[in-house]
Amino acid sequence: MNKKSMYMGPLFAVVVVIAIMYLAFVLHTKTSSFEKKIGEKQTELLNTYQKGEKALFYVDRAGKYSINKAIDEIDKGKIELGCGKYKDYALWKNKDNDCYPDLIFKKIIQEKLNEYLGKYIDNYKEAKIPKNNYEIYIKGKKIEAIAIKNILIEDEKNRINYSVKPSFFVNTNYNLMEKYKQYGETAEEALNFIITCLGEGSGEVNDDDLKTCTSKANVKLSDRIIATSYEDLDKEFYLFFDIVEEGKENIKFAVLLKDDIAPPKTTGIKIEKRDSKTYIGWDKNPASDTKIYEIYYKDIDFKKSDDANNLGQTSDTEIETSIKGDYYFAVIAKDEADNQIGPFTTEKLTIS
Amino acid sequence: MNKKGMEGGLLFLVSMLVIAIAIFFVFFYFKAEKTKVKITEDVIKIDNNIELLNILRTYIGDRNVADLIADYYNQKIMAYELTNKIDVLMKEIYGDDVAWAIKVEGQEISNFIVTLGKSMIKESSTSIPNYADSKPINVELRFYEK
Repeated sequence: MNKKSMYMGPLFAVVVVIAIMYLAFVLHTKTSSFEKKIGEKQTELLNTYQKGEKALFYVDRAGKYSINKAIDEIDKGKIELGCGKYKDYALWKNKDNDCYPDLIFKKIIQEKLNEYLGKYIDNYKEAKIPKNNYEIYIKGKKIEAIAIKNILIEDEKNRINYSVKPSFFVNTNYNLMEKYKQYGETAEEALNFIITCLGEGSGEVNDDDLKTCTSKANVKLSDRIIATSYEDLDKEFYLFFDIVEEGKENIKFAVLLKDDIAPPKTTGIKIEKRDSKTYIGWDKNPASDTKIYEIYYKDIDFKKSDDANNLGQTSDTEIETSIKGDYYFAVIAKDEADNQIGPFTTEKLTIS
Repeated sequence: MNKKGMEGGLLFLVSMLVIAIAIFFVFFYFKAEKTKVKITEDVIKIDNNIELLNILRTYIGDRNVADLIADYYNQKIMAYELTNKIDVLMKEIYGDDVAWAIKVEGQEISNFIVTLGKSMIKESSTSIPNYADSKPINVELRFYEK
């Protein structure tokens, strides 16, 4: 026997002993399977399936409640749509942006569904349901949510995995996108009407004038504007809407009316020549928010004189007019939002 | 290695095999005895949840039973209103010979008065969401012999 085969003998014996022991162990565990009931695994399979169905039902109901809650909150002006809030009203339009819901409805519903459904899922203990898991599809009156990841029901003991893809939908009474678009158009119509009214009227923008123009707009819009608000500090004007639809609660929102209405043309310009100087006067501008008058004169080129701020009276502004020739004068009212009319008309004065 | 050493190794090998086979034989002998198990009959209970889910999904008018139960839980409808509505549905499905009871977070409503002495046929339970807050409502359904 060589040296190699000398070691092979005991090694072979050890391997055989291990193999026999393993066989004995397998036989032992196999006999214990007789202690299981026939059909027990099938029962667990059914129970796992039922767990999945219960989770599906829960997600379906909770998802519907979440979407309905989000729609209700948009309608009641409780959700901020990106343009801020004023009092209890969500702004659908501010100075810089339009935030009409039809433009961002899908995004808002998606965010709110994740938030509200997430809370429902946190409280559900019977299965592990994935969160932030839904793609939203809006087709007419139907809002559909389809899961990205499946719900996985695991029974580790019985080695059962049940995977199911939840989806749910909400049918609304009417096409929400169309409705929101209509409300947006109503708001724009009201704003344009009021701006035109203010421009054609006295040209002033104050509480009284806004109220008058709002009343006129309301006649046109079947009383859909319920109030106006004037923020003197920021020169901001808000229109509040409270639209009642049949079979639905009121829809509340507000829009911001920008003060981009210039005071009308300044009239009654009088030019008086005294010695080498010229004094200029005018009638008080009817715009109540007139802040200053800018005076321009031209000998060769137009020049801007000092601003006149004695708003109630004619100006005593002096302009040097010692050189002979034609002079042209213009007075332009500027309001507190720095709006001013242009181009201006001029008054002529000839120095001989 | 000399001849003596070779013989010793062979003897050790044979001894190990004999011992292993003996252990296996003894073990298998006793285990084989244990496999003579009695075949017995047993009942495995499966909850009747699918039936409950179907009832909860069923619409009565413009609201389904799950909504109505949430209404009852949020005190928007009275117990008798819920009982009447569900009883009409149950009779439509199961006929007149059904005694049912629904527990909503422990509060029982049923179409019979005396529970005592009635034997339960089947039961099921699940959680339904509440539209008023995010805490689920536990609902149990039981059928009894009438």
